[in-house]
Amino acid sequence: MKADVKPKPVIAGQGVDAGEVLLAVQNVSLSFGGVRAIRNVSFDIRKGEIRAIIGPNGAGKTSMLNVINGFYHPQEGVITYKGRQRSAMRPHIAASQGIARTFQNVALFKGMSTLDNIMTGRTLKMRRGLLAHALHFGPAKREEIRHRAAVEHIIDFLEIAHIRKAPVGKLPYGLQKRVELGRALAMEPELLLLDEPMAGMNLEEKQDMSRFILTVRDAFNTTIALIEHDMGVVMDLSDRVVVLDYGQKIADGTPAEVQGNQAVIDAYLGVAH
Amino acid sequence: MVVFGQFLEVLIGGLLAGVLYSLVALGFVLIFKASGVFNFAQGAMVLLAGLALVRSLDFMVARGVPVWAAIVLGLVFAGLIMAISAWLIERFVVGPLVNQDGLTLFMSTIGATFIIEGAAQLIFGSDVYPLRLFPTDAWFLFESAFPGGILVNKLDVWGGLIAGILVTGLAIFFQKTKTGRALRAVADDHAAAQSVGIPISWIWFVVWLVAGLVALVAATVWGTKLGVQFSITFLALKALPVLIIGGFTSVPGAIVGGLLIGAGEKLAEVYLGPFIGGGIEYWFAYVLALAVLLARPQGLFGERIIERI
Repeated sequence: MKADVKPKPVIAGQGVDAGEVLLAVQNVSLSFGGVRAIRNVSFDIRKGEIRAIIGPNGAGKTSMLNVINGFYHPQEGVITYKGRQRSAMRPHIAASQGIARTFQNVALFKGMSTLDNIMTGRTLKMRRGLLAHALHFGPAKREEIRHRAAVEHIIDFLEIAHIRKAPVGKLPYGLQKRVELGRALAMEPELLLLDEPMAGMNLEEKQDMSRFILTVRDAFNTTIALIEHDMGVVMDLSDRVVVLDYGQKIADGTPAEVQGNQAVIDAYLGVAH
Repeated sequence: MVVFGQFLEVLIGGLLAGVLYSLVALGFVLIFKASGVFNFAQGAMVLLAGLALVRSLDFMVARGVPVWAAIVLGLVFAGLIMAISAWLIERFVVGPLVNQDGLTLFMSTIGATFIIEGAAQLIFGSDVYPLRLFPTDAWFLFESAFPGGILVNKLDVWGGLIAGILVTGLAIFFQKTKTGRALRAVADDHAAAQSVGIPISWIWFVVWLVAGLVALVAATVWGTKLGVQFSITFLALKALPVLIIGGFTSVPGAIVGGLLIGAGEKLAEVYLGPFIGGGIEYWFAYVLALAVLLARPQGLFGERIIERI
């Protein structure tokens, strides 16, 4: 008797064209003990778009990002990335496949400088071995210099040259958020996940951050999924919005469609039961 | 001249003894830098490395293997044992605790301590095994300048040399390599490190392996000095004040802390001992550590603790 032959993955698509589905989440459910954080959610992210995930506190937005970059493994459902179905995946593998992210509560390496923090984003791109780096000779040295150049470019773009050498733990919150974005950009990701990139920022800082996000998408052709509470920002930036509430998807569409959706209005304003 | 000669002898002896404390402290610093964990098992790892080395040496020498070959093979064998235990620790002790609090990881290393101590003695025996890797006699220097010369232990000089080489190597490893940067990143934030593609399990294996090899080096020197025996695990207690003084995150700090304690306790013993009644060596290090804690909680070389509120 022949053993079951597993179907081969459909198109191991390396290059996904603009407008095509880059990542699809199908019927994903995630629970922690008795708490059902995500219930049967499906949506997709298309190449080159800015996709917002919104919803009231505790709706499961951050859990969704954690599922996408491999911190959490959903009990049910399928995730398809670049045309390939993905099984439970470790975060560093997701990173090596081009998924970068920032965190809600800024997760930087506090003791290191801005420069070193962003350099860690190049980890996967560095090829030379341990010994070569230790001896700092020829190819390893050239490699270090090449990656430094890429990092300096990012530092200039994010306008943080003045804090290049400062330990990031000492920086104000808004700048830390920028450094964290820089570290994610250093990975040259295809899919960038931003968890509340503007939380705790003043108006001016929010405008700067919005400008950076739009430029990243337009100049580097990076697909972006972001969680944000500031509705003004969400409506201005995003191409499509998915709305979660109590772990379920209650709406999905353009900002205008979502804004007029009764379920969304109920979720945000509360409804008499 | 006699007085100055005696002072020099005490100082040099103290400094060299201090280097030996540093050797043990280095193992702690490595793990702490790379995982933010105070590794309670470091003393047990010195015992394991020492036992693996001395028992395989004895085994081979008894069967007629030439001594130099036995030493090389013994070191390789002990290194292999440390690699296996590093893998086991990563796989079964700290690996499942990624993203957990530092204190949780610390508790798990206490558990690992008892298992390593028990397993090491179960496999390799629990007697006192003499180890003769380095000469244990002494030099008498400057005999023309000082009557009787200055006594310097050859073993202590060897220990100093080895520590110097080790520190240079480790400093380069941490500052100049991408693995070194990845190690520092993992120590700061597990989740963030994973998100930029650093494989934590591999990094932790490397860290525990390096700490295991440092334990092996410490075991060669301390084993020659004291014989390989269970009480070698108590070295960990002497390393603690070294770490507090030097700072938990600093390789040079571990060296300077060791030197300060080594020289301090010997000088205090010789010059204060007669006045306040001897035995100073046993508590001096801890009092010095307490004083440093009051003045500079992060240690002399530790990273400044930055906390935004």
